[in-house]
Amino acid sequence: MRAVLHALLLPVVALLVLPLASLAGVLVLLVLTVVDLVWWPVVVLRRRPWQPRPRDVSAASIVTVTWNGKHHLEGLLPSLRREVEAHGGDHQVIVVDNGSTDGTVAWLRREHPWVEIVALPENRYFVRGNRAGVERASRDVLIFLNNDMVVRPGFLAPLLDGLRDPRVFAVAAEVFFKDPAKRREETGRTRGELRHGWLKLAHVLPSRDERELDYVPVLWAGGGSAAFDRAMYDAIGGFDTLYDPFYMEDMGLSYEAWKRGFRVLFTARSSVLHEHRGTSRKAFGDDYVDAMIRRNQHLFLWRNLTADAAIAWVLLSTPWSMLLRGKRPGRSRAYGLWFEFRALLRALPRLPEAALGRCRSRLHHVRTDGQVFPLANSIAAHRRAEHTVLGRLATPDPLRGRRILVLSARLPRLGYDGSWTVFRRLVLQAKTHRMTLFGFVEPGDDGAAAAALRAHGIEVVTAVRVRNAMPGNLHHSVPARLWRDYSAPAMRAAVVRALESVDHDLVQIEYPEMLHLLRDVPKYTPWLYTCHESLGFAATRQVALARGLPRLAARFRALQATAHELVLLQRVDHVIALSDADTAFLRPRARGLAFSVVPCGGEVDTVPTEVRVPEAPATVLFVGYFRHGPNVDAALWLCNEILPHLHRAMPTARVRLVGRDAPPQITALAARPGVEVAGYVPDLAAEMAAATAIVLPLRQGSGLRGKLLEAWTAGKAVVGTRVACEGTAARDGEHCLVADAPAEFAQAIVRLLGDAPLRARLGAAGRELALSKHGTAGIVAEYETVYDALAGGAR
Amino acid sequence: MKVAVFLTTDREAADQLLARVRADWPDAAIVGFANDEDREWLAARHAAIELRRDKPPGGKPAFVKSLRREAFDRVVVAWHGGERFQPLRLVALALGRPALAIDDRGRERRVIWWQPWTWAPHLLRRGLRADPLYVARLAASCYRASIGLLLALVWLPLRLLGARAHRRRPGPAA
Repeated sequence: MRAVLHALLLPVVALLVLPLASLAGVLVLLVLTVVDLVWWPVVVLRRRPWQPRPRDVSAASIVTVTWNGKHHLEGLLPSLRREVEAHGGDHQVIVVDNGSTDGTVAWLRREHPWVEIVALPENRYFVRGNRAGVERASRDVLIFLNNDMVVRPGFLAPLLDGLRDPRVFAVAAEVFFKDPAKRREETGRTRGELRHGWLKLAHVLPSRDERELDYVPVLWAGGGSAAFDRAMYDAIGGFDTLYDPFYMEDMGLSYEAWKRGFRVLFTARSSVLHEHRGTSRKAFGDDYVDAMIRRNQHLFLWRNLTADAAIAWVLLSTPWSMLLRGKRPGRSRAYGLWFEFRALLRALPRLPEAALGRCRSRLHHVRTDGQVFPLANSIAAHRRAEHTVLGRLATPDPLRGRRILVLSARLPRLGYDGSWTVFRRLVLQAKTHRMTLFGFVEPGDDGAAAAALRAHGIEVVTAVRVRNAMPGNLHHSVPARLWRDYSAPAMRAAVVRALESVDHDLVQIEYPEMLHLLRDVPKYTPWLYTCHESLGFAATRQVALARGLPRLAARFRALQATAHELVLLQRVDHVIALSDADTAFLRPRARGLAFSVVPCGGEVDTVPTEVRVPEAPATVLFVGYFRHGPNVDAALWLCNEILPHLHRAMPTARVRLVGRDAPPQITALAARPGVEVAGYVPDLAAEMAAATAIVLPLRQGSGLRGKLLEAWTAGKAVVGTRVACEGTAARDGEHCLVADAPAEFAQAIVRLLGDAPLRARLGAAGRELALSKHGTAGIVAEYETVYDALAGGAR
Repeated sequence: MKVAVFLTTDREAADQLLARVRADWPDAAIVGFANDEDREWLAARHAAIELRRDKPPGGKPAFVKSLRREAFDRVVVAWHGGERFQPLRLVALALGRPALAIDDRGRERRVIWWQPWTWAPHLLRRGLRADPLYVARLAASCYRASIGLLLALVWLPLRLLGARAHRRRPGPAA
């Protein structure tokens, strides 16, 4: 009974709260719309963009607010004094005492007479406490420090240097926690976006580029570890009392500066140690602090979001976003929803103040909300739009080197699947360019693939692939596999972060799954897409293989895949296809898009041509990674349709299936006479050497098959379908035997098994073709041409 | 009388459940369905009860079919408090026999209540405890397989035509 009551609570609370929240959203929207309309003529007539003024950055006023935090100051002040003395500027250190009862003021006067004290009679909390400190400040630069910080040596200079540029409003330092084992919830590198009708703000771990660059943009500079321009601070109105007592005031300040045309930066060269939330959470409790954060987020949106569509979307989707957010750790969802609703109610009385602030600010705005987020989140977007130097990143080749961000659906690796060709290419490209590779790994990945790439100087960033649990794809816009395996919000967030945190001249996208993930991600630089397989072409090919009702389903999937692929390609600037067949399919459909055909390949000489393994009699080998559907189809077709013909002509012939992750229908083939399912083998070269011939009975998929190149490189004779030979210059009877029907295919195998000189001739010719046409150097040269076309000449 | 018992619970609770079923129907032929780890342990304690594997080869429809042929008079399924999806609960309902449920959620690991178990209480119980996301996914799947599919038949060709007609303009990045 209790369980039933408990379960009923959520619907009851939802029924009560959500309509009221909708009403509140509509009401706020009405109020803001009326205010905006009334104020609009004033904005048009009296718009006054703020002009940057020169400032003295040799010294700063450093303000710290404290309340019963003597023990915190005992850590901060000595470190600050050392830093002030080391820097040598005429700095002013102000400690604002919020009516402490632990004897802070007396202790300060006794122990730190060099500090200026602002003793307030009562606790004015963070916002008004800091405002009191600023009133005493006399320098052109303000630095706000939380009392539970410890500044590290070299803290001041990078902050002050960053403010030399008159268009920079604030510079934030990197934040570390005093307890290194603690998860870094606060780093100083901040970002945000509007998503699902709500503001998503986060501190993120600085990437390699963000550490190596002198300065990178951030959405806001934290009010406890950053330097601000005093004049601009005053012009904006300082920490807004709208957010009293604490939280979001620093975000409001920085956002306003962004919209006025200024920049907010972060530097990893300056850092502090923080006892995270040392005062507020201990004094007020988690619930109260979180409620203040949520209330102030509402107020921030009402006050600052001036794009009509954005604010309308945020307010009209209030109930939906509340449902998504309504979770409190260790509490029921009903409570979470109630918590959200209370935060909204708490914000409502401050609506007039928010509307007033909104009116005042609009007079000075030169940027829209839509411009601020990309500029503040992404290094590449910032560099392009602001034409600013944030620092230089070295490339291996100073003359020709570029910064390239490679986004790959999976980490390329050797000896695993067909991705070895990508591995070889990236390794060679990394000799010229600064390559950063972002790729997904499976849960439980051992990191070996990433380590192998890093060994060649490639910066590797990984994220774990997760299944998409979100409902959606209601009208089948996205192929089911992509929706399930490559649409999880966490995966999208990881890609977005990679795009933002890597300083790049162009993005190189590998595999259609990654292109799909990028479908609604902001684009800042040219996108080059390596089309390993055309989704539409591969799906269309399956139609011919199906009969009856499955054929109808296949037609539907082909339509779905082609439409989706063409929509995705609209965002790409250049496509490199691996085969002419893919290009022939895509080019007439994606009009105006630049295409190149560059076959894949690899450092073929690294695979031994002579392996001392005795060749097994009458054994044909098929090698395939069995998570790839076309390989499963090929193995089944080989055993079900070709093998009976083969055994009729040559009863002793054996088929050996090699490859990882064989599904049950493949392992079950081992029960057939003459079939061996070997699964994964560590030494593929020896496996190939032991086979009499290699078969590639592929009917599905598209692109160029790495397994064909591997077979040729090993000097083995190959029987394949036309599909398997796509992307190469293979000619039937010269480089391999080509057959598309089961009987023909079996006949070709019989011919090969019985003719050793023919095998030797085909093997030699295939190897010659692989060496001459599929070497990595030639492929990389083709990529260079495309790079030049997309990103201009050498940097 | 033939009784089937789906032991979808831990071994201690399964042990008690079998004892309880035996006590209630001393003359019945009882068949227990348990997982591989527990079956041997339970067989040693309930020699007179036939214990079978709860994952028979041949797939779920064949499993249900074979159980139907055996015409059990009672089907007992243990609902041990976890709200995880347990297909054997549905099998018990699909057999169309009066099903009984045991709830051994208490720490004492004893039978708390019995009741006739039909689709209505099953759906009510699961529905009330369902994760909103799960419900949303279910609703989306139903929509996608019906109205969504019909609309897609119109929408996808239009999408394809729209994408083909799209003439690319050089963007700011190009």
